[in-house]
Amino acid sequence: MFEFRLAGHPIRATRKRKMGPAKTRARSAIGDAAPAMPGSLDDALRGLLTPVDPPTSFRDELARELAAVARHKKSPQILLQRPPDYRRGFLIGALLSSAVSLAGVIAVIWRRRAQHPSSPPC
Amino acid sequence: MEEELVEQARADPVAFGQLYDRYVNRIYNYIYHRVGNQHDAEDLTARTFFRALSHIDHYVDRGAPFSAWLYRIAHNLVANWHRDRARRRTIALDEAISLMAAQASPHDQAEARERSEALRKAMRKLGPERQQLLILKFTEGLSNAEIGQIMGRSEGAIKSLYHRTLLALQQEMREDE
Repeated sequence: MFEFRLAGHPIRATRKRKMGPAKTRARSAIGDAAPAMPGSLDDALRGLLTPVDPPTSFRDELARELAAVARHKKSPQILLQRPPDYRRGFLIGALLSSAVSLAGVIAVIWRRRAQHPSSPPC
Repeated sequence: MEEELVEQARADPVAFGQLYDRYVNRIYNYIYHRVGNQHDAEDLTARTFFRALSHIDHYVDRGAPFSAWLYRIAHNLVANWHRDRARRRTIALDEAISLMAAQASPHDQAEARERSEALRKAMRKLGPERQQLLILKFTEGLSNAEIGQIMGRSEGAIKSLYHRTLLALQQEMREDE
């Protein structure tokens, strides 16, 4: 019989046991089939659920893999931001060059008219 | 401090490494006790952090510690893992038990092993939330309030759940009789 105690709430759980060494047999002789569970259920759980650390090799390897993924995750954002900047630059450049060309044509026409103000057609 | 680390990791994924260093042991420990073997614990720990890294942009600080978010990811992955492997054998916790009993006499070791095995079997039959509660309480040493933050429940609800969990453990052990 295993016996656990909650804080302030004794609880019993029975469990069949194989007949063990002398200590167990002696108890069975007085009607208790197995020794009582020492301590409370809390203690038993604390003993069972001991902290377990990951192996250092696993920990280091995972850190490297995460760092590689993090770098990869970071770089595409920069690439995605570039195209709009290029497009805007191209548009502004095209508009400026068109304006300069148009201004040049207008200037040439204006100059010609200024040099030959009223030449009548022959 | 933690909030700053999370903000840094959001802006610069490379900074996520600091959060990893801070929580990897706790998450591994939690998963190990839920799955019971090193191989799957490593696999699920890795998946937890990869998922956290890819979703950190969507992380919303609701007042709970960042670890609560990580534990939820781990909890969901472990639940899926259990679903995928309905019939499975786990023995690795025995290693921990044998380490605990290494300094005792052979007879005491045998007794300790048998008791621990019975308790472990009973614990495995508990629902995922109850297992999570026990692991957080005993391996992490968290208070009811902290566990409540992680599990999205009040401190009183955790206290009540803990009591019911211990009763359920007793019941499971009776049924194993």
